[in-house]
Amino acid sequence: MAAEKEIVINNLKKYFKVNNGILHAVDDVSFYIEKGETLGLVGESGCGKSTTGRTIIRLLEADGGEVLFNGKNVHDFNKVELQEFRRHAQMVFQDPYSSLNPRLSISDIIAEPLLNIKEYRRNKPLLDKRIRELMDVVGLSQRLINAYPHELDGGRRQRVGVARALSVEPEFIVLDEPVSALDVCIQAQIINLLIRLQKDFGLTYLFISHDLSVVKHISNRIGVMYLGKIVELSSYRDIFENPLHPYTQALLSAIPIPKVGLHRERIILKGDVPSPVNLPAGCRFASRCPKAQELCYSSSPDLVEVAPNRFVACHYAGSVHGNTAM
Amino acid sequence: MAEKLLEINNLYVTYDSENGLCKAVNDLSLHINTHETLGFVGETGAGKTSTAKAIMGLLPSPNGKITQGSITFNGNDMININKRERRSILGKDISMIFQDPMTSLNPAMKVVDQIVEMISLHKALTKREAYKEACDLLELVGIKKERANDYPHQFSGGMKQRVVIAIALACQPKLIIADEPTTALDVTIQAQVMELIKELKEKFNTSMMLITHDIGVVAEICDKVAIMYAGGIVEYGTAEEVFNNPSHPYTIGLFNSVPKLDTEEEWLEEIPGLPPEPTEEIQGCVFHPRCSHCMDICKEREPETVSLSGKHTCKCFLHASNV
Amino acid sequence: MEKEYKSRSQFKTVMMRLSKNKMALFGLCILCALTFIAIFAPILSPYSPTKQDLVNQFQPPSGQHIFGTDEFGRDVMTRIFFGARVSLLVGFISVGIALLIGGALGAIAGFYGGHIDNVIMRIMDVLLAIPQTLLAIAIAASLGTGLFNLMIAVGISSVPTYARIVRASVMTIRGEEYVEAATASGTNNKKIITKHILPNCMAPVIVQVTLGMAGAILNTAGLSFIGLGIKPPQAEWGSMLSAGRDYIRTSPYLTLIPGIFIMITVLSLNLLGDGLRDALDPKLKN
Repeated sequence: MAAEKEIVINNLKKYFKVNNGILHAVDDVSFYIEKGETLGLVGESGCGKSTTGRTIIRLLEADGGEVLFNGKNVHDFNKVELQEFRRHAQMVFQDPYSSLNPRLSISDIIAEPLLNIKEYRRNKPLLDKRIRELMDVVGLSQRLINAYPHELDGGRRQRVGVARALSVEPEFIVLDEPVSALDVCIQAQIINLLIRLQKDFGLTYLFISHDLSVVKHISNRIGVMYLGKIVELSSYRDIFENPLHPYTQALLSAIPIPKVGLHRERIILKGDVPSPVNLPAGCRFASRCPKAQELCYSSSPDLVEVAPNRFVACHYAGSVHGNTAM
Repeated sequence: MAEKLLEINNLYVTYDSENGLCKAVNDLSLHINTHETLGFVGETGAGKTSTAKAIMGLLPSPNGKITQGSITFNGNDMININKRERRSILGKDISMIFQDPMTSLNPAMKVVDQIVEMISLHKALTKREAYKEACDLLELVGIKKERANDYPHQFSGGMKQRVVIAIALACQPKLIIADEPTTALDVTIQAQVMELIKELKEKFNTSMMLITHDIGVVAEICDKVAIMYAGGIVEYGTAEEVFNNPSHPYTIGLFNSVPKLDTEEEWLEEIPGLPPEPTEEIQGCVFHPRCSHCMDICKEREPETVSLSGKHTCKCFLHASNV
Repeated sequence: MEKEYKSRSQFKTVMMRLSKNKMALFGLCILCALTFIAIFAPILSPYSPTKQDLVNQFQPPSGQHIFGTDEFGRDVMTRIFFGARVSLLVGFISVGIALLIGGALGAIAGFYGGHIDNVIMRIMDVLLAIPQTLLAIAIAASLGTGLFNLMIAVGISSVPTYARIVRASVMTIRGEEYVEAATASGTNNKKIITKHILPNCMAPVIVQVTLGMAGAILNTAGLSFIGLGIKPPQAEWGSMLSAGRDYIRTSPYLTLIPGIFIMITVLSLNLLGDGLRDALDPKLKN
């Protein structure tokens, strides 16, 4: 059971300076991703899940903590090492409409990461062959090779985004809401494609999404984020069958289920997510938590392992065992 | 019994585009009774929004046109109505909730004034009365009176959508057309807004046409469901009938492509291919190129709408008795 | 069933879209005609632009002198043709200078931000605070008259405008996901600027170039009008306008004709600019 840990994140912090203070986008987050697994990261908008993904592959510089990729800290890499790292870690973006340069053709877009590799830069036929191969892999018809992004629909554009990420044969891909902008039927096609690619190439995924049902479908383990912190992290089964954190419970019960005549007790959270700028002391969820006690307002709970591989950040995780899912 | 509030018969909507004539809505018929909620489900480009715009008379001119069919709302012919009468109906009897609360409110106007504007357009009230009514409406949707004089940017997305709902409800309309009202919201906020919509619908006895792509939302609040594909309704019926006994291959495919929360499956069932371009001419059934049950007849003729049971209808040869 | 995909180069797409825009085509045609006139000026006209012919002073437009003659008996049409050379050249080159310097400064400021941005843009703000024409006058006065100095003066005075436009669009595009995607691919900054950012800021810049060219032509005319531009015998529209104003009551065509040519040139550049902006937007469907 001692699978190799591909990515280890220790106490990662990322803050942004804003007009009225400091925005704690990612605040002391630690987790790991095993080789070949998919870790799902869910949370509502502004919880820092995308920032976490971007900081892990160093599109953003961290303000603290470390990201160990095969044992080496990504944030200590120099220019050459970073360039090398980019061949191993890639990203697929949320919006297939803005993540592709409208002035480049499909082949130019897929070629981009390859052009940073000498053998492809010097050998045009090899590059062309690789592009066509990639288009086949992601299910894009080769007749589209010279098309421009605006001529394609959302699903095809996202396939181009996936092909671009795959081009350098990475081991690790951050998928930032890759299906959120797509229609359900197209979404199913892309999810199946991602699962197939993972099996074929032994990829490791960090799958970021706000949609719990999609995350549950694709992930081995799930981390739930709230206001820059991970509040619960365990296997997808544990999260869905017996969520321990009150936020996870509320999140699960908020998903509309496509079945008629289903009577379930819903936990409707009051109010909005507080601003991540001036954070309250104590547990960040306390202001909306239906089970908050006095202690929650004064001290912030740590993410602790309550059972093997089950991490929860709640003072009362033991006593909130209410089984509210489904 | 329930009377028909909105009735659409054989509606065709086309747009002139540079790529040729774009058929957005083809032979669409439906009706909404008083106090009823119809879920209008389909993918991008299926013609959901075009239908809504045709009802409101908001099709972009001169490109968008209703070429055939009739729309009757509360006894009024909504196609040949003059502009003035239409204006007196819009906002008062039919109101709309838009998808994006960020852009559907005027950022330079206090929220209370935006509601007052709507009220004073259709009701003969003094300014003070209108203001009081607007504040009551805000309380009703869960916004404290003290915040009435705030500007939209001071509200979060969920709160803004509450304001939009308050504006839509301002004149106690008979019909609300809600175009993806919760799509732009986070899931916990979506749950709040859905609860609010459900509650207010009961309270005001309003009919609603809910346009969405999320079948979970439909299951939760709709009485009837219409499944749209490529400009036409392929399946129509009460929510129980459609969800418990989906009959059109597209409906089945659509339901299966949503990841389930209560079961585990390795692969999602997908419908192969893509929806047709609206400029494309397809002979026979519009769904046949993607259909796994495609028969010879599907490629030749367009299927008739057949009645399955009660109000449940389906436009597919699989269920036609004479084939 | 699968149609073979027609691949069209971007240049062709832009030209095709442009050809659908009648106003832009009209502008382009006039510009081509003016360029043709400027290039073939000596062949098109039997007269010399500078040689004085005092016998034929102030001839009104006639069959022999279509636009008449000026106070020295020179053929106005010939001088207009030769003047087109100066005006178009100054237009192109001064805008070229402004775009090169201003564009580079704006791109650097917009991409790197922070202190670099602050320093560059504050200098631009100082330059912008001086009226453009006044700045051009000051530069022209200090460099002395002459065609080349004129181009430099007009060019430098519009550097801040280009710097601002390029900076603004670079900043917008720097935040786009495809730029982030390029970074994630390991592409270096220089390549990101030239391949992803600059091509996508083209639209506002090209519009500004055409408008700016019109402005430069007007500026040149203005400078020549007050005597800081082209030296007297050489033909230039602005100086012709200036020379003609003394005789506006007796021979109005001496001011009218250069004025009309300046107007037509500026108008056609503006029409072309508008058309190009639309044609260059890749998101517009064909």
